[in-house]
Amino acid sequence: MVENVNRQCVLDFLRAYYSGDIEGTLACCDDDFDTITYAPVELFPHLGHKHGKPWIPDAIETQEKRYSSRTYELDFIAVDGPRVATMTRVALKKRNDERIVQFENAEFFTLANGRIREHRSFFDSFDLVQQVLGHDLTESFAATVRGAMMR
Amino acid sequence: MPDANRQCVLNFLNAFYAGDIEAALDCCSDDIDFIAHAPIDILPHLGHRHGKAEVGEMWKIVHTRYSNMRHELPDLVAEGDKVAAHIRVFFRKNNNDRVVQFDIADFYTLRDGRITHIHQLLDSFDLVQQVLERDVGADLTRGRGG
Repeated sequence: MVENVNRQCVLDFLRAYYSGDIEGTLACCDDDFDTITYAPVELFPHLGHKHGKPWIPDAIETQEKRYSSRTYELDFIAVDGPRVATMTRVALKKRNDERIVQFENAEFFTLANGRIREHRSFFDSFDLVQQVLGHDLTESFAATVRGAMMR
Repeated sequence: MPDANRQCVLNFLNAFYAGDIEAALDCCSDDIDFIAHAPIDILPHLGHRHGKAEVGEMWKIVHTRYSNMRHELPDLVAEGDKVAAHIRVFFRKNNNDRVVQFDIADFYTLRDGRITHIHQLLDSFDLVQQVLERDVGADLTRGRGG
């Protein structure tokens, strides 16, 4: 069944991506691969909207430079024809201070001929920025936002 | 059941974004559990809520902040008791009529035709910037360079 092929392709993609297997990750993707990660690109320039497979080795190499270990747990997967949605819990160990950055990552995949053509990714970007910076940003903004929300 | 669950989620989204909180809650089980990963110190109406009373109250707060809400559905994935939705939302702020636009990932688990869990993820950094009407990213990169 095509759903089983698509499910396995996404599972293979996740395994290869987080283990740093560039060739394995590329093998799961269509030549017309298109990805959007909804995140502030001024802080994470390797994210945002990218088109084509060259993004994949760049993204893996960027993460491998920053993090000594990258692991994930699959909390949710749904497969519906050519569409797959996953939610994973990701843990990245920073090389500079050995702290662990953790976040939930939502991904939507659209496949064609058994390969990933479209990829969309979401995570709590504000929390990730705080974790990467190593300090709480909320106090700086909380009063301003409360005022903005109440006007 | 996946088609019934898909339709339940579609009915839920249509009701919620039309401002019909009661109809949205009707799509949910009594023990509905909702979690939105966002900075609750800044956006206290998000975060974790349990049960129809808490979830309903949270949704009422969201609807009082915005005069108009609409949504588009770029993606909906349904399998068994699980449904995932990529939602594009447009909210008009009551205070200044500006429109906040952002994309959300919602993951639903259903039981007996009703939603029991909603797990929500979004680009919270972008949402904070839009609510504040301020380029927080530029502030941080200037600060880091200084």
